[in-house]
Amino acid sequence: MPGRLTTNGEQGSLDRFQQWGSGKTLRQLAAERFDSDLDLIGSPDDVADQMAQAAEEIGGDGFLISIPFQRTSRRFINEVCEGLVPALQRRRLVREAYTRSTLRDTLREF
Amino acid sequence: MVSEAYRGTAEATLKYGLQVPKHDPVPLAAIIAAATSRLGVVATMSTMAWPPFMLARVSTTIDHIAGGRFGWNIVTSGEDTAAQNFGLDKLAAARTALCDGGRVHGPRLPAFRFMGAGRGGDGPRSRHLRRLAQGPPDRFPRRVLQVPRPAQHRSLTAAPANLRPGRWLAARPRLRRQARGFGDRAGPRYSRDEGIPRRRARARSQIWPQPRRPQGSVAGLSNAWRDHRGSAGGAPTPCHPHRLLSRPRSPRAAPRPTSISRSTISTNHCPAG
Repeated sequence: MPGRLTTNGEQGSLDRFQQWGSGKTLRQLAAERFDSDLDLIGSPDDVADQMAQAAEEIGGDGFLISIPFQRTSRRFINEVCEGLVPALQRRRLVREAYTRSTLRDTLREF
Repeated sequence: MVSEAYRGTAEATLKYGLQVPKHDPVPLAAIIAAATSRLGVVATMSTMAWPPFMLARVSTTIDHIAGGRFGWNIVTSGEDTAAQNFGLDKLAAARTALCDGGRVHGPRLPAFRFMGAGRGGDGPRSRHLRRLAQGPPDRFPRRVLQVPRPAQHRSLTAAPANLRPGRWLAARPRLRRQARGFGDRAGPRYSRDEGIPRRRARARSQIWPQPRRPQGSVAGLSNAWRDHRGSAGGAPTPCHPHRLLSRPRSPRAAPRPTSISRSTISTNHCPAG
């Protein structure tokens, strides 16, 4: 990258992408951003297995599941809520019940 | 707003329907909150668009509708087109919008904080009410008392944790007071030889840990995964996708955040506007 790019919104996301100072090329940065080594493709159980393996290797206290550009749809919700989450629950990787009533307490539960 | 980020025009945004059209999040958050019982509902409201009192009042109201499951995702808006929707030519710089002369969000955030300060609640014996009766400081406007405190006691916020002002917002009020050098009465007890400078330094280091590490996120997860797989005998990079305040919790001096790193909520969403 020829220079450090700045923006007025989402500077953190841009910084994470451009990795200024790392000397990587735009192609390398794009590959890392969009072509993760962790290809979560397959049936809910396949994906849950990969997520379990990653969590075991890396550590962490949960998963952040999102879809870029707010393309949320009924299908996406269904696949996650009816497919992936039950598979993760069977592996004890996500909560099976809410024990706290407020969002603050739920976030602090871990 | 319709983004003009790509080539300076709205063409691509409209062609591919990128986040347009979209509704206002506030009534949607209210109706989602009313229709659910366990989900957390976090709406994005820009400090550019919302006057502080309205922001505090609507957030508190939705928090009551949600039974304590509502949060405010703090944004400052990202493009000038967002400002133009509100009759302004240009956006203020994000740092300016969030941080005014060292006091976060100038006169705005104290209103929001005060709403949720909640120490002693909103009853007649509230410390804040007593203080107001003695003559309110300018930064605690009297009209804020019109609405009760949030159901969660203190409003939940998702802060832009990569910006220093965002970290400042995310820290507990006690830490912030200490970082400024105040808080002698309210703060935790330290041994006598720890003077204010040292206490201040400690609070600052908790808000802005050194060395600063990248935020935990989906991208961080994949990078850590890559580092681990590619490393020759090196230890795996610790990564906390749900890291709070971007700092691993330690059993003793863990700062209990009043807000959460935005990466906990979403990674790819654009600011509202």
